Amino acid sequence: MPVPEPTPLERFLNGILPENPVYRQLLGLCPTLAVTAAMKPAMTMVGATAFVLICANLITSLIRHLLKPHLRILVFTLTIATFVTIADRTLAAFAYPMSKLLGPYVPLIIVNCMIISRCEVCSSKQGPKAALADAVGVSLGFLLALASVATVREILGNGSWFGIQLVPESFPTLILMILPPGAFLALGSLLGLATWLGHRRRARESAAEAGSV
Amino acid sequence: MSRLRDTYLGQAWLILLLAGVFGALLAAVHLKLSPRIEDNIRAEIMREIPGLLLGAEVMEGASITIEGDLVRIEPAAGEPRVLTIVEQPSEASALYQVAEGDPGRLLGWVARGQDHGYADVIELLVGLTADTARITGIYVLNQKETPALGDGIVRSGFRQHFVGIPTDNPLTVGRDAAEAAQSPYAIQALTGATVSSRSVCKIVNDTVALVKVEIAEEPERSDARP
Repeated sequence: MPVPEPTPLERFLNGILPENPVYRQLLGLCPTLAVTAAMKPAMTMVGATAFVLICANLITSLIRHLLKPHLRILVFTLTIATFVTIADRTLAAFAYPMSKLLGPYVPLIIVNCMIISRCEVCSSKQGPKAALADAVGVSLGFLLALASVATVREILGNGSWFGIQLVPESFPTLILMILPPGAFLALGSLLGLATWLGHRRRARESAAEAGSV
Repeated sequence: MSRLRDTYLGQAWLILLLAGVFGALLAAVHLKLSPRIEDNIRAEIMREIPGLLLGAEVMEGASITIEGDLVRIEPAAGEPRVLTIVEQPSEASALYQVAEGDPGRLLGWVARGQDHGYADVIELLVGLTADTARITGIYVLNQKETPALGDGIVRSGFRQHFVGIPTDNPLTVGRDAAEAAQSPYAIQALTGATVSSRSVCKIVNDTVALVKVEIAEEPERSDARP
Protein backbone atom coordinates (compact mmCIF):
# COMPACT_ATOMS: atom_id res chain seq x y z
CA MET A 1 0.00 0.00 0.00
CA PRO A 2 1.47 3.39 -0.97
CA VAL A 3 2.39 5.71 1.90
CA PRO A 4 0.01 8.70 1.94
CA GLU A 5 1.63 12.09 1.28
CA PRO A 6 1.86 14.40 4.34
CA THR A 7 -0.95 16.93 4.79
CA PRO A 8 -0.23 20.67 4.29
CA LEU A 9 -0.07 21.15 8.08
CA GLU A 10 2.39 18.28 8.44
CA ARG A 11 4.48 19.72 5.62
CA PHE A 12 4.49 23.12 7.32
CA LEU A 13 5.47 21.78 10.74
CA ASN A 14 8.05 19.30 9.38
CA GLY A 15 9.91 22.09 7.58
CA ILE A 16 10.49 24.08 10.76
CA LEU A 17 12.18 21.56 13.05
CA PRO A 18 11.84 17.82 12.25
CA GLU A 19 13.13 18.34 8.68
CA ASN A 20 14.99 21.61 9.30
CA PRO A 21 16.98 22.24 6.11
CA VAL A 22 20.20 23.16 7.93
CA TYR A 23 20.17 21.28 11.24
CA ARG A 24 18.50 18.09 9.99
CA GLN A 25 19.24 17.86 6.27
CA LEU A 26 22.53 19.82 6.18
CA LEU A 27 21.36 21.70 3.09
CA GLY A 28 21.89 25.38 2.32
CA LEU A 29 25.18 25.41 4.22
CA CYS A 30 26.86 27.88 1.85
CA PRO A 31 24.67 30.86 2.87
CA THR A 32 24.56 29.57 6.45
CA LEU A 33 28.32 29.91 6.65
CA ALA A 34 28.85 32.88 4.36
CA VAL A 35 26.29 35.54 5.25
CA THR A 36 25.78 35.01 8.99
CA ALA A 37 28.44 37.40 10.32
CA ALA A 38 25.53 39.71 11.21
CA MET A 39 21.74 39.46 11.44
CA LYS A 40 20.87 41.99 8.71
CA PRO A 41 22.54 40.18 5.77
CA ALA A 42 21.38 36.83 7.17
CA MET A 43 17.74 37.95 7.29
CA THR A 44 17.97 39.48 3.81
CA MET A 45 19.26 36.14 2.54
CA VAL A 46 16.38 34.34 4.30
CA GLY A 47 13.89 36.74 2.68
CA ALA A 48 15.33 36.23 -0.80
CA THR A 49 15.52 32.45 -0.37
CA ALA A 50 11.96 32.29 1.00
CA PHE A 51 10.66 34.30 -1.99
CA VAL A 52 12.39 31.96 -4.45
CA LEU A 53 11.30 28.82 -2.57
CA ILE A 54 7.65 29.87 -2.31
CA CYS A 55 7.44 30.89 -6.00
CA ALA A 56 9.32 27.82 -7.26
CA ASN A 57 7.24 25.45 -5.11
CA LEU A 58 3.96 27.02 -6.26
CA ILE A 59 4.86 27.00 -9.97
CA THR A 60 6.17 23.43 -9.99
CA SER A 61 3.13 22.28 -8.04
CA LEU A 62 0.76 23.91 -10.54
CA ILE A 63 2.49 22.25 -13.51
CA ARG A 64 3.26 18.94 -11.77
CA HIS A 65 0.96 16.90 -14.05
CA LEU A 66 2.77 18.21 -17.14
CA LEU A 67 6.27 17.35 -15.90
CA LYS A 68 8.17 14.63 -17.71
CA PRO A 69 10.28 12.62 -15.24
CA HIS A 70 13.51 12.94 -17.24
CA LEU A 71 13.09 16.69 -17.78
CA ARG A 72 11.84 17.68 -14.34
CA ILE A 73 15.21 18.90 -12.97
CA LEU A 74 15.54 21.22 -15.97
CA VAL A 75 12.11 22.71 -15.25
CA PHE A 76 12.96 23.14 -11.55
CA THR A 77 16.26 24.87 -12.38
CA LEU A 78 14.64 27.15 -14.97
CA THR A 79 11.95 28.18 -12.48
CA ILE A 80 14.39 28.72 -9.61
CA ALA A 81 16.83 30.71 -11.79
CA THR A 82 14.03 33.03 -12.92
CA PHE A 83 12.94 33.92 -9.40
CA VAL A 84 16.53 34.23 -8.16
CA THR A 85 17.18 36.78 -10.92
CA ILE A 86 14.05 38.70 -9.90
CA ALA A 87 15.16 38.65 -6.23
CA ASP A 88 18.67 39.78 -7.19
CA ARG A 89 17.46 42.68 -9.34
CA THR A 90 14.89 43.74 -6.73
CA LEU A 91 17.58 43.89 -4.05
CA ALA A 92 19.85 45.89 -6.38
CA ALA A 93 17.00 48.36 -6.99
CA PHE A 94 15.62 48.77 -3.47
CA ALA A 95 18.42 47.67 -1.11
CA TYR A 96 21.56 48.46 -3.09
CA PRO A 97 24.07 48.48 -0.18
CA MET A 98 22.76 45.11 1.01
CA SER A 99 22.88 43.76 -2.55
CA LYS A 100 26.56 44.81 -2.74
CA LEU A 101 27.25 43.28 0.68
CA LEU A 102 25.72 39.92 -0.27
CA GLY A 103 27.57 39.97 -3.60
CA PRO A 104 27.48 36.61 -5.37
CA TYR A 105 25.51 34.87 -2.63
CA VAL A 106 22.12 36.01 -3.96
CA PRO A 107 22.74 34.59 -7.48
CA LEU A 108 24.10 31.48 -5.73
CA ILE A 109 20.60 30.76 -4.34
CA ILE A 110 20.11 29.04 -7.72
CA VAL A 111 22.36 26.20 -6.56
CA ASN A 112 20.90 25.99 -3.06
CA CYS A 113 19.93 22.30 -2.87
CA MET A 114 17.34 23.11 -0.23
CA ILE A 115 15.08 24.65 -2.90
CA ILE A 116 15.47 22.02 -5.59
CA SER A 117 14.97 19.29 -2.96
CA ARG A 118 11.59 20.80 -1.97
CA CYS A 119 10.54 20.84 -5.65
CA GLU A 120 11.58 17.20 -5.95
CA VAL A 121 10.18 15.95 -2.63
CA CYS A 122 6.99 17.97 -2.28
CA SER A 123 5.79 20.36 -4.95
CA SER A 124 6.21 18.03 -7.94
CA LYS A 125 3.99 15.50 -6.13
CA GLN A 126 1.43 17.53 -4.17
CA GLY A 127 -1.04 20.37 -4.78
CA PRO A 128 -0.38 24.10 -4.35
CA LYS A 129 -1.73 24.16 -0.78
CA ALA A 130 0.77 21.57 0.44
CA ALA A 131 3.53 23.14 -1.68
CA LEU A 132 2.91 26.58 -0.18
CA ALA A 133 2.74 25.19 3.38
CA ASP A 134 5.95 23.26 2.75
CA ALA A 135 7.76 26.32 1.35
CA VAL A 136 6.67 28.53 4.26
CA GLY A 137 7.62 25.84 6.82
CA VAL A 138 11.05 25.22 5.27
CA SER A 139 11.63 28.99 4.99
CA LEU A 140 10.87 29.35 8.70
CA GLY A 141 13.26 26.46 9.40
CA PHE A 142 15.92 28.23 7.33
CA LEU A 143 15.19 31.46 9.19
CA LEU A 144 15.66 29.71 12.54
CA ALA A 145 18.95 28.22 11.39
CA LEU A 146 20.43 31.41 9.96
CA ALA A 147 19.13 33.53 12.85
CA SER A 148 20.69 31.18 15.42
CA VAL A 149 24.11 31.14 13.72
CA ALA A 150 24.03 34.91 13.02
CA THR A 151 22.95 35.69 16.59
CA VAL A 152 25.85 33.74 18.08
CA ARG A 153 28.35 35.25 15.63
CA GLU A 154 27.20 38.87 15.81
CA ILE A 155 26.89 38.95 19.61
CA LEU A 156 30.21 37.22 20.28
CA GLY A 157 32.09 38.82 17.40
CA ASN A 158 30.70 42.35 17.45
CA GLY A 159 28.82 42.73 20.71
CA SER A 160 25.68 43.70 18.79
CA TRP A 161 22.48 42.14 17.46
CA PHE A 162 20.75 43.44 14.32
CA GLY A 163 23.19 46.37 14.48
CA ILE A 164 22.07 47.33 18.01
CA GLN A 165 25.04 47.50 20.37
CA LEU A 166 24.37 45.16 23.31
CA VAL A 167 27.62 45.53 25.24
CA PRO A 168 29.81 48.63 25.63
CA GLU A 169 32.18 49.06 22.69
CA SER A 170 35.12 48.85 25.08
CA PHE A 171 34.00 45.31 25.99
CA PRO A 172 36.32 42.68 24.46
CA THR A 173 34.79 40.76 21.54
CA LEU A 174 35.83 37.60 19.73
CA ILE A 175 36.68 39.00 16.29
CA LEU A 176 37.25 35.42 15.12
CA MET A 177 33.50 34.83 15.25
CA ILE A 178 32.74 37.32 12.46
CA LEU A 179 35.59 35.93 10.33
CA PRO A 180 35.09 32.77 8.19
CA PRO A 181 36.42 30.32 10.87
CA GLY A 182 33.80 31.73 13.27
CA ALA A 183 31.07 30.50 10.92
CA PHE A 184 32.34 26.93 11.12
CA LEU A 185 32.78 27.13 14.90
CA ALA A 186 29.26 28.53 15.43
CA LEU A 187 27.56 26.14 13.00
CA GLY A 188 29.47 23.12 14.33
CA SER A 189 28.61 23.92 17.95
CA LEU A 190 24.93 24.61 17.20
CA LEU A 191 24.69 21.49 15.04
CA GLY A 192 26.16 19.45 17.90
CA LEU A 193 23.70 21.02 20.33
CA ALA A 194 20.72 20.36 18.03
CA THR A 195 21.76 16.73 17.52
CA TRP A 196 22.32 16.22 21.25
CA LEU A 197 18.90 17.69 22.06
CA GLY A 198 17.32 15.44 19.41
CA HIS A 199 19.00 12.33 20.82
CA ARG A 200 17.97 13.24 24.36
CA ARG A 201 14.35 13.76 23.31
CA ARG A 202 14.24 10.45 21.45
CA ALA A 203 15.84 8.65 24.41
CA ARG A 204 13.18 10.09 26.73
CA GLU A 205 10.39 9.11 24.35
CA SER A 206 11.63 5.53 24.03
CA ALA A 207 12.07 5.30 27.81
CA ALA A 208 8.49 6.53 28.28
CA GLU A 209 7.24 4.01 25.70
CA ALA A 210 9.13 1.16 27.42
CA GLY A 211 7.68 2.28 30.76
CA SER A 212 4.11 2.29 29.45
CA VAL A 213 4.54 -1.23 27.96
CA MET B 1 -0.51 11.21 -31.22
CA SER B 2 2.18 8.95 -29.81
CA ARG B 3 4.46 9.93 -32.72
CA LEU B 4 4.13 13.60 -31.75
CA ARG B 5 5.00 12.74 -28.18
CA ASP B 6 8.22 11.08 -29.33
CA THR B 7 9.51 14.17 -31.16
CA TYR B 8 11.83 16.67 -29.48
CA LEU B 9 9.03 19.25 -29.56
CA GLY B 10 6.64 16.82 -27.92
CA GLN B 11 9.16 16.23 -25.15
CA ALA B 12 10.35 19.76 -24.61
CA TRP B 13 7.27 21.91 -25.24
CA LEU B 14 6.82 22.69 -21.56
CA ILE B 15 10.42 23.87 -21.19
CA LEU B 16 10.14 26.01 -24.32
CA LEU B 17 6.89 27.51 -23.09
CA LEU B 18 8.30 28.20 -19.62
CA ALA B 19 11.45 29.72 -21.13
CA GLY B 20 9.27 32.10 -23.16
CA VAL B 21 7.06 33.05 -20.21
CA PHE B 22 9.98 33.46 -17.78
CA GLY B 23 11.97 35.39 -20.40
CA ALA B 24 9.08 37.85 -20.81
CA LEU B 25 8.76 38.13 -17.02
CA LEU B 26 12.48 38.89 -16.64
CA ALA B 27 12.34 41.43 -19.47
CA ALA B 28 9.47 43.21 -17.70
CA VAL B 29 11.36 43.19 -14.37
CA HIS B 30 14.47 44.53 -16.13
CA LEU B 31 12.52 47.34 -17.82
CA LYS B 32 10.89 48.31 -14.56
CA LEU B 33 13.94 48.13 -12.29
CA SER B 34 16.95 49.00 -14.45
CA PRO B 35 16.48 52.82 -14.25
CA ARG B 36 16.45 52.58 -10.46
CA ILE B 37 19.49 50.29 -10.40
CA GLU B 38 21.35 52.67 -12.74
CA ASP B 39 20.51 55.57 -10.37
CA ASN B 40 21.94 53.55 -7.46
CA ILE B 41 25.11 52.82 -9.44
CA ARG B 42 25.47 56.49 -10.44
CA ALA B 43 25.11 57.59 -6.81
CA GLU B 44 27.77 55.06 -5.82
CA ILE B 45 30.11 56.35 -8.57
CA MET B 46 29.59 59.95 -7.43
CA ARG B 47 30.38 58.93 -3.84
CA GLU B 48 33.53 57.02 -4.78
CA ILE B 49 35.07 59.45 -7.29
CA PRO B 50 36.32 61.95 -4.63
CA GLY B 51 38.21 59.19 -2.79
CA LEU B 52 39.85 58.05 -6.04
CA LEU B 53 41.24 61.51 -6.82
CA LEU B 54 41.74 63.07 -3.38
CA GLY B 55 42.98 59.95 -1.63
CA ALA B 56 41.36 57.67 0.93
CA GLU B 57 42.91 59.54 3.87
CA VAL B 58 41.12 62.82 2.92
CA MET B 59 37.81 60.98 2.77
CA GLU B 60 38.18 59.26 6.13
CA GLY B 61 35.32 60.41 8.33
CA ALA B 62 34.22 62.94 5.68
CA SER B 63 30.54 63.55 4.94
CA ILE B 64 29.49 63.69 1.28
CA THR B 65 26.46 65.48 -0.21
CA ILE B 66 25.55 64.94 -3.85
CA GLU B 67 23.50 67.54 -5.77
CA GLY B 68 23.34 66.76 -9.46
CA ASP B 69 26.92 67.07 -10.78
CA LEU B 70 28.18 68.71 -7.58
CA VAL B 71 29.73 66.71 -4.76
CA ARG B 72 30.31 68.57 -1.48
CA ILE B 73 32.85 67.01 0.83
CA GLU B 74 33.19 68.02 4.45
CA PRO B 75 36.34 66.33 5.71
CA ALA B 76 36.80 65.42 9.38
CA ALA B 77 39.56 68.06 9.47
CA GLY B 78 40.11 70.97 7.08
CA GLU B 79 38.10 73.11 4.68
CA PRO B 80 35.02 71.78 2.85
CA ARG B 81 35.64 70.98 -0.83
CA VAL B 82 33.31 71.06 -3.80
CA LEU B 83 33.91 68.86 -6.83
CA THR B 84 32.13 69.09 -10.17
CA ILE B 85 31.82 65.75 -11.91
CA VAL B 86 30.81 65.87 -15.57
CA GLU B 87 30.36 62.78 -17.71
CA GLN B 88 32.17 63.02 -21.04
CA PRO B 89 31.49 61.12 -24.26
CA SER B 90 33.84 58.14 -24.44
CA GLU B 91 34.31 54.69 -25.93
CA ALA B 92 34.87 53.46 -22.35
CA SER B 93 31.76 52.52 -20.35
CA ALA B 94 31.91 56.06 -18.93
CA LEU B 95 34.43 58.88 -18.50
CA TYR B 96 34.08 61.53 -15.82
CA GLN B 97 35.91 64.86 -15.79
CA VAL B 98 36.44 66.04 -12.22
CA ALA B 99 37.13 69.69 -11.37
CA GLU B 100 37.43 71.44 -8.04
CA GLY B 101 36.35 74.92 -6.95
CA ASP B 102 35.01 77.87 -8.92
CA PRO B 103 36.42 78.53 -11.49
CA GLY B 104 37.08 74.85 -11.89
CA ARG B 105 40.60 73.51 -11.64
CA LEU B 106 40.88 70.17 -13.40
CA LEU B 107 41.56 67.61 -10.68
CA GLY B 108 41.61 64.45 -12.76
CA TRP B 109 39.65 61.85 -14.65
CA VAL B 110 37.75 58.77 -13.66
CA ALA B 111 36.93 56.12 -16.25
CA ARG B 112 34.59 53.17 -15.92
CA GLY B 113 35.77 49.95 -17.57
CA GLN B 114 34.75 46.32 -17.56
CA ASP B 115 35.81 42.89 -18.76
CA HIS B 116 35.48 39.24 -17.82
CA GLY B 117 36.98 38.13 -14.54
CA TYR B 118 37.26 34.57 -13.27
CA ALA B 119 33.56 34.16 -12.49
CA ASP B 120 31.71 37.00 -14.16
CA VAL B 121 32.17 40.54 -15.40
CA ILE B 122 34.35 42.82 -13.25
CA GLU B 123 33.52 46.53 -13.43
CA LEU B 124 36.05 49.10 -12.27
CA LEU B 125 36.48 52.82 -11.78
CA VAL B 126 40.00 53.98 -12.63
CA GLY B 127 41.17 57.38 -11.40
CA LEU B 128 43.80 59.32 -13.39
CA THR B 129 45.67 62.54 -12.72
CA ALA B 130 44.73 65.65 -14.76
CA ASP B 131 47.58 64.97 -17.23
CA THR B 132 46.63 61.25 -17.32
CA ALA B 133 50.25 60.43 -16.44
CA ARG B 134 49.51 58.46 -13.29
CA ILE B 135 46.81 56.25 -11.81
CA THR B 136 45.33 57.78 -8.66
CA GLY B 137 43.40 54.71 -7.57
CA ILE B 138 40.89 52.04 -8.56
CA TYR B 139 37.50 51.06 -7.17
CA VAL B 140 35.65 47.80 -7.87
CA LEU B 141 32.10 48.68 -8.84
CA ASN B 142 30.86 45.18 -9.52
CA GLN B 143 32.35 41.69 -9.22
CA LYS B 144 31.26 38.13 -8.54
CA GLU B 145 34.71 36.58 -8.06
CA THR B 146 35.28 33.52 -5.86
CA PRO B 147 34.46 34.41 -2.24
CA ALA B 148 37.54 34.59 -0.01
CA LEU B 149 39.93 34.36 -3.00
CA GLY B 150 39.18 36.50 -6.05
CA ASP B 151 36.85 38.83 -4.20
CA GLY B 152 39.98 40.17 -2.47
CA ILE B 153 40.21 42.60 -5.42
CA VAL B 154 37.72 44.85 -3.58
CA ARG B 155 39.98 45.19 -0.52
CA SER B 156 42.01 48.34 -0.08
CA GLY B 157 45.22 46.32 0.40
CA PHE B 158 45.07 45.11 -3.21
CA ARG B 159 43.71 48.35 -4.68
CA GLN B 160 46.49 50.31 -2.96
CA HIS B 161 49.05 48.68 -5.30
CA PHE B 162 47.66 50.74 -8.19
CA VAL B 163 47.99 54.18 -6.57
CA GLY B 164 50.62 56.40 -8.19
CA ILE B 165 51.70 53.99 -10.95
CA PRO B 166 52.70 55.79 -14.20
CA THR B 167 50.53 55.12 -17.21
CA ASP B 168 53.28 55.20 -19.87
CA ASN B 169 53.56 51.39 -19.82
CA PRO B 170 50.91 48.69 -19.35
CA LEU B 171 50.65 47.07 -15.93
CA THR B 172 51.89 43.53 -15.43
CA VAL B 173 51.14 40.98 -12.71
CA GLY B 174 53.81 39.63 -10.37
CA ARG B 175 52.95 36.35 -8.68
CA ASP B 176 54.56 37.39 -5.40
CA ALA B 177 56.07 40.43 -3.71
CA ALA B 178 59.58 39.67 -5.06
CA GLU B 179 58.34 39.40 -8.66
CA ALA B 180 56.20 42.54 -8.29
CA ALA B 181 59.14 44.52 -6.86
CA GLN B 182 61.16 43.98 -10.06
CA SER B 183 59.12 46.49 -12.08
CA PRO B 184 57.38 49.78 -11.24
CA TYR B 185 54.51 48.61 -13.46
CA ALA B 186 53.99 45.26 -11.70
CA ILE B 187 51.05 44.59 -9.40
CA GLN B 188 51.34 41.84 -6.81
CA ALA B 189 48.68 39.20 -7.52
CA LEU B 190 46.31 38.03 -4.82
CA THR B 191 47.31 34.63 -3.47
CA GLY B 192 45.17 31.97 -5.14
CA ALA B 193 43.50 34.50 -7.43
CA THR B 194 45.98 35.22 -10.22
CA VAL B 195 43.20 35.18 -12.84
CA SER B 196 41.15 37.82 -11.00
CA SER B 197 44.27 39.95 -10.45
CA ARG B 198 45.22 39.66 -14.16
CA SER B 199 41.66 40.61 -15.18
CA VAL B 200 41.79 43.75 -13.03
CA CYS B 201 45.15 44.75 -14.56
CA LYS B 202 43.81 44.11 -18.06
CA ILE B 203 40.74 46.26 -17.43
CA VAL B 204 42.94 49.05 -16.04
CA ASN B 205 45.32 48.80 -19.02
CA ASP B 206 42.53 48.77 -21.62
CA THR B 207 40.60 51.61 -19.97
CA VAL B 208 43.65 53.81 -19.44
CA ALA B 209 44.87 53.26 -23.02
CA LEU B 210 41.44 54.15 -24.38
CA VAL B 211 40.80 57.32 -22.40
CA LYS B 212 44.41 58.57 -22.68
CA VAL B 213 44.05 58.62 -26.46
CA GLU B 214 40.61 60.24 -26.27
CA ILE B 215 41.79 63.00 -23.92
CA ALA B 216 45.00 63.59 -25.91
CA GLU B 217 43.06 63.84 -29.17
CA GLU B 218 40.76 66.51 -27.76
CA PRO B 219 42.87 68.85 -25.60
CA GLU B 220 39.90 71.16 -25.06
CA ARG B 221 38.45 68.47 -22.81
CA SER B 222 41.13 69.34 -20.29
CA ASP B 223 39.70 72.87 -19.96
CA ALA B 224 37.59 72.35 -16.90
CA ARG B 225 34.43 74.42 -17.23
CA PRO B 226 32.08 73.40 -14.50
